[in-house]
Amino acid sequence: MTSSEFLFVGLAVVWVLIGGYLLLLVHRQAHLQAKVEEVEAEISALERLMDASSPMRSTDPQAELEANGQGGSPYG
Amino acid sequence: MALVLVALYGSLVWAPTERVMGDVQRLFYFHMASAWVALGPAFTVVFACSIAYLVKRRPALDRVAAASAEIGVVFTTITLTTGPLWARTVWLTYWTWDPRLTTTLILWFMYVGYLLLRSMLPAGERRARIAAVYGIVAWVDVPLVFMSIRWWRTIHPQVITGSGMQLEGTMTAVLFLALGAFTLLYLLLLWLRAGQLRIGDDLHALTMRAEWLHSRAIATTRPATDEEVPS
Repeated sequence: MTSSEFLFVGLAVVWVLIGGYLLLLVHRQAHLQAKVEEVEAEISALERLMDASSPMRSTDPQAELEANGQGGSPYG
Repeated sequence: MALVLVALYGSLVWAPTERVMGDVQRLFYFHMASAWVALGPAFTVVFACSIAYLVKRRPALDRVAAASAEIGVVFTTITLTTGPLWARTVWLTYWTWDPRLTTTLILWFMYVGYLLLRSMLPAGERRARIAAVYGIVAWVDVPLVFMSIRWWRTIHPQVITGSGMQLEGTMTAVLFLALGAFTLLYLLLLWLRAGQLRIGDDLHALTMRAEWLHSRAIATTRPATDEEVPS
């Protein structure tokens, strides 16, 4: 291979790695946002279901979760 | 990204062709810029955030360290692939066990190990603590990579010496342009990746809440069994 061909291959490697990583990040972002929306919709549906089945419910689910050590971030 | 494209244009058009090595020398601007990002900001941020995490125990510090390590591995991969392509025409071999090349390869393996370790442990405080200790220990190789061409016999070129930059004026300007562009690109990638890790943690908390609500909903709507009905 000539000097120019090595340059071409090298630049291709640089742009494939940077572009590929950037595309991977954009794809992950879209996937995470879709997942968050899906879980939030599920939570709303479950809360509506629980409100309908027990209108006198007085406990705060988040407070109860945290009391059981299940709430918040994975860092605890 | 626009500045990175300007740096590409600068390396191909503004920078003069090196007399002995020819066009392949233009890889140098990306080779050195990616090495700078990996060794400078990326792995040093992992080191600093790891120490800060052990002191302050803030999850955000662990997330920034993880994001920075991932980006550092991408840029070290660029360094380790552009270097051999350049070396093939100059040294007539893709690889030699030169101190600079060897310590850089060890660095790449250490941070790939860091990412593997994180992926194998369950998310949480324990993983963050172990990764922080590993992140501090792994950084020891960074000054070794930097000093390897000064401490040991090497064939790797030394661009920055005690008497300044060993480069022609336009080449120096294009090099600084590439360094600036890659540093800004690193900051953009760090912001994106650390943000994603935060969303991942939020998603974990939301999933736990959904599971709890699900179990409560089943308990609330389940019909009473014979044992539960008072006689």
